[in-house]
Amino acid sequence: MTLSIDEMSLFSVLSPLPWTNLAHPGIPIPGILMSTPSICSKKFTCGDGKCRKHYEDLKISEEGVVTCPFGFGSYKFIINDDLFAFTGFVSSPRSNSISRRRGKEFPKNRFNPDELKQIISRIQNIINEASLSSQVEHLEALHEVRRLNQISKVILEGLERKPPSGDKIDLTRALKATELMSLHLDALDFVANPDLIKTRTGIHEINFYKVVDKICKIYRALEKKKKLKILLSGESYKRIRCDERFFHIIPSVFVDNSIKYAPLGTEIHVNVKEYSNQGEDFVKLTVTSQGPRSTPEEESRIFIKKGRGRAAKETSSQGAGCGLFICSKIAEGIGGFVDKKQKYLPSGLSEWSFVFYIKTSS
Amino acid sequence: MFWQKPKKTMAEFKKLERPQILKRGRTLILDDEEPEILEPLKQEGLTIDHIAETTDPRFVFLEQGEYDVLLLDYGDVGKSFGQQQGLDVLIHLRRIIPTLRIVAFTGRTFDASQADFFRLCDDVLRKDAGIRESMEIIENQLEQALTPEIFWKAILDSLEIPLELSVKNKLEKEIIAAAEEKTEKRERVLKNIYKMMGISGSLILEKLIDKLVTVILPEFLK
Repeated sequence: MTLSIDEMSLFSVLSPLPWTNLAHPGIPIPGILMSTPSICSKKFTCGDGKCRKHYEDLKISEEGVVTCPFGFGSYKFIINDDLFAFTGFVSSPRSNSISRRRGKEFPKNRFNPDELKQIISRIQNIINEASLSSQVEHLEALHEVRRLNQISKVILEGLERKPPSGDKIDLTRALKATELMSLHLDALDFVANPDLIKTRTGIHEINFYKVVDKICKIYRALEKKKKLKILLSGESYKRIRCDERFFHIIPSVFVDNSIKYAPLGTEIHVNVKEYSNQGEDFVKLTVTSQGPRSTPEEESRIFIKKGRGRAAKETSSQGAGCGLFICSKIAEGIGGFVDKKQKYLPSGLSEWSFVFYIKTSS
Repeated sequence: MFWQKPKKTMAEFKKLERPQILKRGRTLILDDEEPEILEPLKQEGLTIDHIAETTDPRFVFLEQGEYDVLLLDYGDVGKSFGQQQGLDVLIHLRRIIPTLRIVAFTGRTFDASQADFFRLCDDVLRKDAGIRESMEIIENQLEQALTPEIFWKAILDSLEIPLELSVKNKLEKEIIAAAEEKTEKRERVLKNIYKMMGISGSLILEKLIDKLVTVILPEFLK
């Protein structure tokens, strides 16, 4: 997801150093701590195209820092899906010799990439927080969506009892769609107020397998479109104690992601298994399917908010990159654990397994 | 003839059957807008009413213990109770009707006070729940509300001084016996119980005992 206009404004207010957007580089915009060096404005507008070429080089460079033809270091970084560069005050390999040559023109205070990483991480957090607050405002609108969803459910459940004669209506599919809508709204509720999981209200003993089975049934409504097959195996009569509204989200995100990323005509394997560890009983859900390959670095941040890898974004433009992050937070809140495993396939894809396990109550 | 051993403690009475729950249970929805499920739930056999504000005369019936389950919205209800609206209504009702089961019926979930609201409720019903899901949650709450044990616990909790075990056991038997009596005798027995507990004048306790003896226990003694 690229930055919204509001998020971009927030970034420009927070940036301590001069910066430019690498999608359409221009004269660096002054930061709040350091203004743009005067040489940058002069050289960018002189028309020789060296600055633009420098930013193009930086964009494709594997190094984080590239020195510009005038001796300034530029540091490339990503916020959400947008590529930016800090420039002017970045330490670069050639900066010392050039600083001697350029004298006063060359800034004395320079930041090294490690310092910049910390700054960017803080800016990213602030943008995420601010973006969440604006989502909260949207929840008012979501309240209305829930009301409309209830109207649909009531009408469909009524029709289910007294099916109309004449044309066949796919009531099951329509009801599943309303359930899917509820699941997504529950996830948004959780994002808006994660503390709700700590209230302990709404906690029930629930049959783990039954919930997974229900989720598979709901998502089977979507499998036809991509010629996928959702195969549920294993069994368990074990129960877990948790808030049902939130627990539903975990198997739902696992299966939803599999559907989103699995290639046409492949299978999604959902397995429920009981096991014991150090005298305690656990129940485990594993969802395995094929999907885009991730680098080890991308894989390591898969449960982080907006942690989707490049290949995942290219495969599916849908989603906010929050699903697995929400799952990890819910798992934490209900005393369970999430994990993942990637196996590279010769086809260039990967076999992904997402796992959730929790101690049983019976 | 089948002879059933008379029950002597509240714990011996289990749960009511579904038809009895539907017949006896009373549910109220307090929500600023009339929910779509109201009519369908009535058609399912629930006795359920809706009020949009605490100024509705039926709110007094709720305060008097006429209802067993309340579906309570958080926002735009109970403005006269305080700024926290639904939460203030909840705190008020928890104090005066300890046996009332309160279900959070809200879709807006975005601040810390609402976390308190959820914490104090017995369960949560999503604002977009269908008929099946709503019936499941309401019936489950009615089942729990209509048990002698819940009332007995509320009675004991409402007493300022804990009773000695022998007095407690005697009182428990007296209350069960009162429910077994014919209506005209029941009044007399009830008066004796109140005297024994020294509670005449405590409206909450009187209401709890009265409902236990006249509504809840007779369902189990039939």
